[in-house]
Amino acid sequence: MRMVIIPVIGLLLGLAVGMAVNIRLPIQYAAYLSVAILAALDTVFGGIKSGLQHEFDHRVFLTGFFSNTLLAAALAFIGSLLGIDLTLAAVVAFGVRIFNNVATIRHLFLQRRKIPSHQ
Amino acid sequence: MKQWPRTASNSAPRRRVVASWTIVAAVFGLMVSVQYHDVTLGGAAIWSALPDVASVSSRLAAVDSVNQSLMKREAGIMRRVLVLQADAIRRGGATALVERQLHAARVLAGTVALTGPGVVVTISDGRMSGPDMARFITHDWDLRSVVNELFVAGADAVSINSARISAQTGVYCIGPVVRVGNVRLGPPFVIRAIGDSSVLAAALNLPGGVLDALRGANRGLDVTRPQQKRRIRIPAYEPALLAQTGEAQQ
Repeated sequence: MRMVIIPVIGLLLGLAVGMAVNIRLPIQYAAYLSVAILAALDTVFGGIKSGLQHEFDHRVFLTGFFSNTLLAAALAFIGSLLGIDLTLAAVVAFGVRIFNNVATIRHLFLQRRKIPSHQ
Repeated sequence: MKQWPRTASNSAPRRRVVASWTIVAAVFGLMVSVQYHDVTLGGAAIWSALPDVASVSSRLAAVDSVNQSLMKREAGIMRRVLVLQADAIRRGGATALVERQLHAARVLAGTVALTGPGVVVTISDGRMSGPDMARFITHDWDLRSVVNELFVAGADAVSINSARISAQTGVYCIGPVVRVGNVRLGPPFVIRAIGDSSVLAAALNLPGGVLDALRGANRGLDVTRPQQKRRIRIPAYEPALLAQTGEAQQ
């Protein structure tokens, strides 16, 4: 049980700090944070899925979390420099992955076999 | 539910697993709440749903920063040119005369900032205490008379607040403010002049001169005594971009 409570406390702490500290996003960086959040959400669901499948590796999880968020933001940044909306690529890619992961998690909870995903 | 952050093998201790989840959860929570906070405050984050606006604004910011750095470079180059010219004047010779004339032209045109001895006068509006309120306001002709007096007395450079008076600088009343060149100014008006400070001060202090005329006439204007100073800095004249010759094409 402690394994769930401590990360939840961390989550609440992060939420509280973000709400308490008055950070105003400059308009040109707003798009990068939203893409980074999408990437982070994908990594979190991926972590839950691999935990349920007993394949969780904390090194893969940590590096994946930070590299995915930074990569997504960097991709959006490069896109804005080139005039290509690469945020759309990140939104589509991570959106599909999030839905797949959530579906897999649901199936694992229902004690069924994993559905074939698109990956 | 009980099993999920369990490791595949027992090689990684549970502590590390919990720690990694805690770090990720805290960072994720921070990101989400910063974004949420910004969206609820109507901040920039709402534009992330409108990539066109966000990308245009980011491009604008990029162009702005490029312009800023170019202007900084231009100022640096100008400073080097001025240093080199001062050096050429000091060395004498054939170029010194040309450089001195160029420097004098720059000072007269007001395109360089100037530092030197001079005087400072501050004029503030009077308090309105009757129906004739126009008398208690500092007018364009008040400022013009002081500026003219200073130039007549041999000032090299004159400024009102942040506006350098150049050969092309007009001083007008426009509604509630005084327009000096391209700058709109309000009281108090700090008039600075560089030149022989004792001569400038004497010219302003002339009994019955311009400052006495402003102080009198029952106008209640607050005019300080001209202060002589060793070092006064007067900024360069800043022409309005595009305002003079440019015309927007439809």
